[in-house]
Amino acid sequence: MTHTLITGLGLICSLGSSCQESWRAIKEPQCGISTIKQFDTSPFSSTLGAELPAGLRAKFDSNKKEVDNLAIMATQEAIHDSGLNFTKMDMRRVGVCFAGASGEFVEVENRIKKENTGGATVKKKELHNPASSTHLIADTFGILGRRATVVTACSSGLMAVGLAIEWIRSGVVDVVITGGADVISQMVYAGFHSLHILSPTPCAPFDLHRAGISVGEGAGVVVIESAEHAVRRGANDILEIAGHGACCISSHMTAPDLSGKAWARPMELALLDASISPESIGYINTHGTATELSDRAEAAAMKKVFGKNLPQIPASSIKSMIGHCLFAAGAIEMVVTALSLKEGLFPPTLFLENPDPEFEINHIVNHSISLDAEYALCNSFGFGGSSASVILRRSTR
Amino acid sequence: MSKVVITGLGIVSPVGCDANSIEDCFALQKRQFSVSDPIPKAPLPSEAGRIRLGRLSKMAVYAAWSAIAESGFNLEEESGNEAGVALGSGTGGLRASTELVRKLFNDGLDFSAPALFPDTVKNAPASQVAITMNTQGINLTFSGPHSAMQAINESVLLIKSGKQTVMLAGGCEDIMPSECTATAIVNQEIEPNQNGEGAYVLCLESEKSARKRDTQVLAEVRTSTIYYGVNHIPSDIIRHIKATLHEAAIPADEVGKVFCYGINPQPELLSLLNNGAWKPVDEILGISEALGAACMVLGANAVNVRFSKQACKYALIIGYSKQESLAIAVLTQNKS
Repeated sequence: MTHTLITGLGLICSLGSSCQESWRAIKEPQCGISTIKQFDTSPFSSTLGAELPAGLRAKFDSNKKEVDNLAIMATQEAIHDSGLNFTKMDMRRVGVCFAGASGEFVEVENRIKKENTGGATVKKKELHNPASSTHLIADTFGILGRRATVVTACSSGLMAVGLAIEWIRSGVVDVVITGGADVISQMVYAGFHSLHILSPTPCAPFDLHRAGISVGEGAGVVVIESAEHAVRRGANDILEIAGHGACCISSHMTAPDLSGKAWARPMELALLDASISPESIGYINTHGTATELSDRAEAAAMKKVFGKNLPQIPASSIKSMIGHCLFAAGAIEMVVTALSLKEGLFPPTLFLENPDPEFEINHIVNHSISLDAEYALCNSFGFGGSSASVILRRSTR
Repeated sequence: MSKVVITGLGIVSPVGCDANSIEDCFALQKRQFSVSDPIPKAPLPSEAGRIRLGRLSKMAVYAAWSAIAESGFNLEEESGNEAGVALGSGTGGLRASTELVRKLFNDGLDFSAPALFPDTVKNAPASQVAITMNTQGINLTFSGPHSAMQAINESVLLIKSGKQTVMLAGGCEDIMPSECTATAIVNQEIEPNQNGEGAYVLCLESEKSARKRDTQVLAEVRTSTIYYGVNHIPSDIIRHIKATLHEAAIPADEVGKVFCYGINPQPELLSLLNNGAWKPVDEILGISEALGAACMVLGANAVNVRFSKQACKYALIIGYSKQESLAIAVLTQNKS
């Protein structure tokens, strides 16, 4: 089977507009959750969110959707990081597999607001088009290979990565730009409010007194390549995607399976795909949303997979720093997991003052820690039950 | 690498819930773009049948249930892991999203509509298929041009790679109610009265599994791909058809039927496939991102000797969409 390597990373989140900026703040660690400035939050149960860094929106091309701006910025960084020279490549062998975004509704909301005040000239960016980021990336960089826009709610980013891995393995392309971008829309904020899962304080994943999510925004983009292609062109700083797993064991659109069976399955599939035992995992980047039920279900799932070894495996949720970045969350968190493995430094969960005693998790708390981990696992779960896990392996070169 | 075959079909179309009804429309020059309410209800197990489904999910679940029922694949606990779902949708979730945004701005912000929010996600239909039918494998939703064809292509890839044995793959689409502006939000280039809706699902299966189960094989997916950077001119489209047929070692004159969308069968195209009867499916069912799956359903029947006495050896599915993209698939009889 063709090995799949990560050769380029791009990251934007509330803590920075690039990998370097974001990673510096995450490992410090800093919290990027504060009062939302984009819209009035007074009717809601929270006023908080992890918005993009100040000034970034001012750099957006106003003819493009906000999510598309983010997608292009992060893709530019990832391609630059990879060292790929597209002018010398057969672009039919390059694909784009990207997550759709909930935040594309920002523009639709603006249009409806305008309609309410009488008359509206519809701009192209205000049309509903969840695939706009995918096609914009392809058009901007001259990519002519396979394309897909994956929409599986909050697991979209990591599901897109999983599908991209299959493209590389099956040989339909040599390189894929994959990941996701999303921004906070009022519709989504109101939706979480209606489900009573917005936290009034910065989210505290796995804490006994956790009170729900803090919504975030950003983009995570990964350039993945077949090992043959990467080695042939002399790519450096390589991480391997050792395995991935995805499934949908679900009985409800929003309520997770508290037995842990449903969310254990993608982790088991990823381990099987990587041909490694659970003991090989040195770090877990959890989905860790900080809702009562989601954290409980994930803890039960991890217990099923790792058993008595679970308390020995360091784990954290970076949502406590950058919020829940919605459909892009899985991709962003995978980028951070990759940065962690590269540097051997793993970020903590913030605000975890009273870890829920029911969970046998070895939390990294308050400060980043150094680890000699070879493999790291990253989880992502979404409404409807689509769940994904990816295992990354540190470079052995 | 395993061949991928079609072992079941499911249809909720504006003109009926079987392929015959659509075929008849070509002869009668009949067009109908909206599905009559109430949406047919799948006879699901009692517990699953009680789940509240939105209109689009109802269509998807009925089509998926029909496809799996025809295939005879048993979705019990032990085999649920082997079956996944992949659906394409352009407007999926938009009805609920628009309603939510309107409530937000018109009825005041402090509302309580917890049941509405989950329906805003585009993957609700695919998820509801999994929830009601116990498919436990990968569950994907695609959006954008050719999204139903994307769902089918990715399903073929996942079966060939051995990741899944069975995929319920296709597309579903929902016309927005006239009181909301969503139709215009979707695509201004399409007149609102040209939008179509429906759900079309194929039960795709590895040939090995179908043979092992000794089930009927309706057709084989010989090839399926989407090209980008294609101009909407006959010469460019012909070049890609030729390349696809050549790569799959299929003589053009053996293509008996062509089901198409987004393409006007001009003389150059007709002469390329001189035995092929071109059937523009969008003229019958309206424009939607589910059309690729509708064409695949019709193509599967066109090559199936049990369905048609004049079954052809190969059926070509071809669609042109935004983003200068061309979807091409070839279905054939499977006699092995």
